Amino acid sequence: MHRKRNYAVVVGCGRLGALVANELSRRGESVVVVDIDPTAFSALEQAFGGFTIEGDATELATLREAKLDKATILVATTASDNVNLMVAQVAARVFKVPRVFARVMEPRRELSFKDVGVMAFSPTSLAAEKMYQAIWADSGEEVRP
Amino acid sequence: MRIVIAASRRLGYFLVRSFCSKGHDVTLVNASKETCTFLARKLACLVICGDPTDPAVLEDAGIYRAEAFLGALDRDEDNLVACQVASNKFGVGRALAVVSDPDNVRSFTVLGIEAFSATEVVVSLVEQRTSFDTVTYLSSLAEGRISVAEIVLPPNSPAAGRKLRDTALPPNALVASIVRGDELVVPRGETVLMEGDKLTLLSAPADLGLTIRALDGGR
Repeated sequence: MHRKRNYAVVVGCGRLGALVANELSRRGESVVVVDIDPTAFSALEQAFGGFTIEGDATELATLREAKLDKATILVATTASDNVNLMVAQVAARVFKVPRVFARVMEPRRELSFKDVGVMAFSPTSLAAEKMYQAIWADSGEEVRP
Repeated sequence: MRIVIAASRRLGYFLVRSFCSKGHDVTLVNASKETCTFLARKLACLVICGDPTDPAVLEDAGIYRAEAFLGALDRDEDNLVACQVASNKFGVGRALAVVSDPDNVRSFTVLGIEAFSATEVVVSLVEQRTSFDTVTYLSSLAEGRISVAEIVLPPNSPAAGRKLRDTALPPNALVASIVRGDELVVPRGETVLMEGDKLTLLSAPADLGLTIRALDGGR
């Protein structure tokens, strides 16, 4: 059965953004990457089959240019937690994007994302979790993040 | 009123000064140590140094006792997050955000935060101050979809002596009121316009020029 193609908008083309955008493109999804700095797009691989938009994602006009109203997925991975939090919410509540994901650096902010119904991933928390599991793997202690 | 304000250095200084002069109890929050030191020296209010989007910092700033929170930082996203923390986490009565992108006013409203656009305020002030002899631009309503202006009918007006319905006003323009001397005249199609009448006009921004020309003869 042929799965319907996603239309994904990735905001922020840093290391994580580029990684996710490349993978989405590799898997045949429609991808648009937004970044305020055009040189950031050099992180996208040669085979990247999507589009890029240079712009500030906190400006509604930029999100409109990315046709966010047609998106099925929004990934917010800029360097700023607050930008990610804003873009994620605007995507979910104003543009009604069905699936919204955000990266949050500061673990304490994860709760703010949860409060507004956005799925947030904290590299810091995730790495810590994995480390705890590795550190206390043999101890038999229950490892809770 | 007890207010907590998160603001940039320049704006923060003048905002606090204004609020204090009106007798309000203000606490300012800013993330830069230099800015906070500078402002603490110049202002009589409490200055808290820290990230205004961090709940712990807002707590230090006395957010629990505050009746209002104002997010007037440089970036729209910072004002959104700070206001949401103040409102959702601490239940502050009024959380207001200043935004630079006028389009964000509507977005923020959807997200539950009252916002106003500094850009639009400045634009309408400039327009208001730009008044020619007979025309004063007053304001814009419905998020910029309606322009409001006031015009005093000059002696050579093509509309003077004519019924309102016989003037060359564009179809989407409305004369909302006429002040004639001390009297308020409610305009109807039958109303005869007179030189010296002060008309309040409503129209789409694109039609305002035409509307005014129909009334002042296009000087």
